[in-house]
Amino acid sequence: MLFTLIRASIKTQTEYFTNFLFTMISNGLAMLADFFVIAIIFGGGTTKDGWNMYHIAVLYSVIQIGFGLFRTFGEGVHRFEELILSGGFDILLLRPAPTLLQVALRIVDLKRVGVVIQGLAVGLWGLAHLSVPLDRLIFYPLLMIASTLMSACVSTAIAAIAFWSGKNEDINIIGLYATRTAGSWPLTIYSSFIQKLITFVIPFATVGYYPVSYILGFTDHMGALLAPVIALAITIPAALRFWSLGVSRYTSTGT
Amino acid sequence: MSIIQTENVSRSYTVYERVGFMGKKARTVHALQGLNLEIERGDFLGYIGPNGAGKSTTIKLLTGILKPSGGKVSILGYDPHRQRKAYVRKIGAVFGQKTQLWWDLPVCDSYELLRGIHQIPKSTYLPHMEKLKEKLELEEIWMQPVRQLSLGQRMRAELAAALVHQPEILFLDEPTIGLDIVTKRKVKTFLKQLNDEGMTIVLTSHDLGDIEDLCRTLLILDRGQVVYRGDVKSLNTVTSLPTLVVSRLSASQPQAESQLRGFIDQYGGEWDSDRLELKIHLPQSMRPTEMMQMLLKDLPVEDIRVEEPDIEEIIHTIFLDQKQKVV
Repeated sequence: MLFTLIRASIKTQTEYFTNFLFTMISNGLAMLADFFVIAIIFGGGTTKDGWNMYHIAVLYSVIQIGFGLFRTFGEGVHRFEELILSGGFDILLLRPAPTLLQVALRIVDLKRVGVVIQGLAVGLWGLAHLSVPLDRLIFYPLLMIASTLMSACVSTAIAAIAFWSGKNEDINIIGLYATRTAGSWPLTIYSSFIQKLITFVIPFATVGYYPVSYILGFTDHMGALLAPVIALAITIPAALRFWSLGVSRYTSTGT
Repeated sequence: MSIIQTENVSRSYTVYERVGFMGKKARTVHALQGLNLEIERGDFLGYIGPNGAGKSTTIKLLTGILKPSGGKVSILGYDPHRQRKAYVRKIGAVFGQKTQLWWDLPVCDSYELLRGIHQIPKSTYLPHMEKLKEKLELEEIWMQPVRQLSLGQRMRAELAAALVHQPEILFLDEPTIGLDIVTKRKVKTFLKQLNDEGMTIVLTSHDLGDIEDLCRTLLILDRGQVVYRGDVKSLNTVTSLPTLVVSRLSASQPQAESQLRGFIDQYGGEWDSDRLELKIHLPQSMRPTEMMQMLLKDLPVEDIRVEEPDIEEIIHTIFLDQKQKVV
């Protein structure tokens, strides 16, 4: 069934292959420019707790890859308001498959793979200039998964708001884009309000700054490594619960 | 045995109305109140009511799309909203204004994807689809992208999509809206046949012709409440609308004038002196032929016919009665 849902949405877009390829590449390049800005601002300096450009590249890549992977397989959650406004969600409810899965896989956006590749390139470039021991490096790929799940949770919770308000696109900008960008910088550059926000409320720091600090050797505290596990153990059930609450509140559109 | 049961089901919405420039005011709308339904297996239930009567809400509650605000829905032993995933395998639904097909894909691909979602083995799927293809005349559009279909073609494709998984109950919300006469007839014939083969069908329509031709049981809904429920055929017994015996007289003669006044006084009716037509109300206790014989004996009748009140008029009176009750 999973396969069928993915097939359904891929089938609809590969009809225009050149366009597809072009968008994928330009998506990746646009995001790369995004990192150049970070690199230029930061240049050769370090933060007060010792993060330089290469360290930030690793942190940036974890958040970026997570976001890219999520949007590859979850673009439908991101653009959920389309389904609410059109009443198309009715039709999904008539199919014997979990609603969230159907919503997510409605748009499997392979073009976003460009973002993942760009994130990976930046991350590997950073790691190449640092000497990270192997017993810490092995957590890097796991973090990518944790980061993907975190993006998915935050986006799901934001999408579920549309069950009440009918819209979620505007909230995405503050709730997802802004916090994700904030999460790709070392936490210490922020005021304590922002620090708390991205640690406890929209906790991108738990899959980024804290565990990356451990990987890069800024801390040996196991708590930094456990942060993503603890955070996801709370956010995944919370996001799912909020989603199903939304489904039971669903009012559909008139005909 | 009834397979669809609702007990005192209600559904309300909160709507926010704009007050002034920025303010909002919440208001609760009761789309449906205290709906009690029992539908037998094999029934063909028609469901009518003016706009905003709660038709769509009812269909959405029965298909599990909406959660009732109060009361209990039980269909085939399932709670449609709570046990949605298991329940929707047993039902099919067509909403006239929403498509369940994939817009950019050929028609046959949509069925193939639905097969995957419902996890139907190829061995049952293929012969079943072959049958549907033939009955709904889908051959010519089989490979066409859905977005290129005409409304009539799309509706036939939608029906097949709702039946891919061989459901036990079929829900139809305005399935004939906007269709031309030929397609409408095809769709109706198909539905009739489906019901004859044992499918339970629940239909909402604005088109009373659909209801009269297809349905066994009729449900009339107004402002969230059931105002009539019963046989389509016995609908005319619930209103005071009489059957008319209409006779056209050869010429207006003075003695006939007094005779016809006599009929009108006794049974009720009217005399149209321009068209020379006498309409007499037929009492419930009398057969049309008795009345005809009396008229033929006493009056110079040239032509005579019986007029049953038509369904549209009956329903109109039911709504009027209802309004008066409220006032």
